[in-house]
Amino acid sequence: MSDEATRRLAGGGGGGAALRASSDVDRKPAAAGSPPPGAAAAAGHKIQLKSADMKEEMRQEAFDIARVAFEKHTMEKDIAEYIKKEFDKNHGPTWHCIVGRNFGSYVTHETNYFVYFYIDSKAVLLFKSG
Amino acid sequence: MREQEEGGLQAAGRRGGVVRALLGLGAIAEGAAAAEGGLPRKAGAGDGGGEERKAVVRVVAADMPPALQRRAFRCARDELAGMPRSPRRLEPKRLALALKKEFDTAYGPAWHCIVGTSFGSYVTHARGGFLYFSVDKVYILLFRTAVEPQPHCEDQTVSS
Repeated sequence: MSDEATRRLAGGGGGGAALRASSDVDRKPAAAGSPPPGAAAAAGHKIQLKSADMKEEMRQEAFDIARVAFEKHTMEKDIAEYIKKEFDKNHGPTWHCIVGRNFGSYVTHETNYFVYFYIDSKAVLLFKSG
Repeated sequence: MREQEEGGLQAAGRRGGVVRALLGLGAIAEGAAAAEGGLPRKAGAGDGGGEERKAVVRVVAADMPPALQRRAFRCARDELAGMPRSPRRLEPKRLALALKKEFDTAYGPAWHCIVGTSFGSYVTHARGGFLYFSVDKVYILLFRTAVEPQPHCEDQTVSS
């Protein structure tokens, strides 16, 4: 399954331009090796950017916030909640966040407010709309 | 005054339980009744006129008029039916695109769709524009956000 994310410019009506972006996630974690101990987990999470329509500074903030979210929470919906709320607070409503190992998406986002990346073996989709 | 609601959802991995967060509507089971206990194993239904089993649709959470829900179910079923069956291969982006486009066209922008077997989410949706359901083992999140024209610096187009 393709891990590529595609983005297409959609002709909008009056108002801000909206871009459509999709993501396709189906990554299997490496089976070999035992899970790392809790202490070693604090060594930081590897982040791999897949697709973005977002300025560098905000992207880095998303990565940092995601790292904190993964340290604080275990369940994907809690991680998504943490990230979304931080962005709603820092950059104004309305943000949406999806976290998981296996999902595809098709969304409309505001220009300059879309990022899709992997943190370890999970994908994070964060975008602003509405 | 913002007329939107927030909520988090977690699609279960294999054999995991699904957290039922009922928003407004009760849980609705639609489609052919499937045996809950045990795994119904049917050999190819070639000798029975070849009628395919209807996919099982379950609503996990919803804040959406019934008519729109039914439309989402029908659209999802049709798309899934058109995907390769052996081996069963899910094409999440294709299904997400089909649902989003149909709803954008029928009910106006902006709709968003997430499809998969293992994901969690936290979104803000417009009132009456939220549906989280499953078709067989595929979870589908469909929600709408309010489109407010904001002619700010956000108008600039992006070239990748």
